[in-house]
Amino acid sequence: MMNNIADMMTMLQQIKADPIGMLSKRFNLPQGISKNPQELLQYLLNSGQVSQGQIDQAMQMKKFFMK
Amino acid sequence: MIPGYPYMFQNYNQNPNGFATVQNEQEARFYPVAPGVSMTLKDESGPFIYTKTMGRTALDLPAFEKYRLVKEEPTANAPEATETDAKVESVDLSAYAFKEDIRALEEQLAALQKEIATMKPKKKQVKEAEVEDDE
Repeated sequence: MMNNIADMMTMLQQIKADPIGMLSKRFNLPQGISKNPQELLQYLLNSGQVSQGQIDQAMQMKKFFMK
Repeated sequence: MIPGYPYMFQNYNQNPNGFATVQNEQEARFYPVAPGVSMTLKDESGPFIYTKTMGRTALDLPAFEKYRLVKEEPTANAPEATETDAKVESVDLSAYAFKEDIRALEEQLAALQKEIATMKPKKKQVKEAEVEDDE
């Protein structure tokens, strides 16, 4: 359990340090794409790499953590 | 799903229903929506509901609509006399007849039928009389 949390914290640190770089590794983002989170999510939706349910979940998580 | 991750969003993930909450209109306008999908968004800061519908292709412009929520106040004197009464008042009663009128018409019809019934033998009698005259 502790390892999982530690892994997650590491992942979060990496995302914080270079969010676009991390996303580019995971998804095939084109060069020069907007860094606006909403536009990035829209691109992932349009390219069929994520589902609407996943986006809804991500938006809820964002709301939860930004409070 | 990440192993060991708290399952705080599990129920939401299992039931994506096209509904989400947003903090304001701007967030609703920029809420990511998949092509061909419609999302209903509830404003947390005001009595508004937004719908955002994306076209089938990325070239189609998204359709964004804003609705205001209006609280329905129950009336104190006649709580049930609302929608039904309005419908009854809106019915055009001139298209209907009273029972007395229909009964009067029925009586007239019956009288006419009787008259017709009595007329037929008369015609026959007249025809028979004509035949006899010819002979």
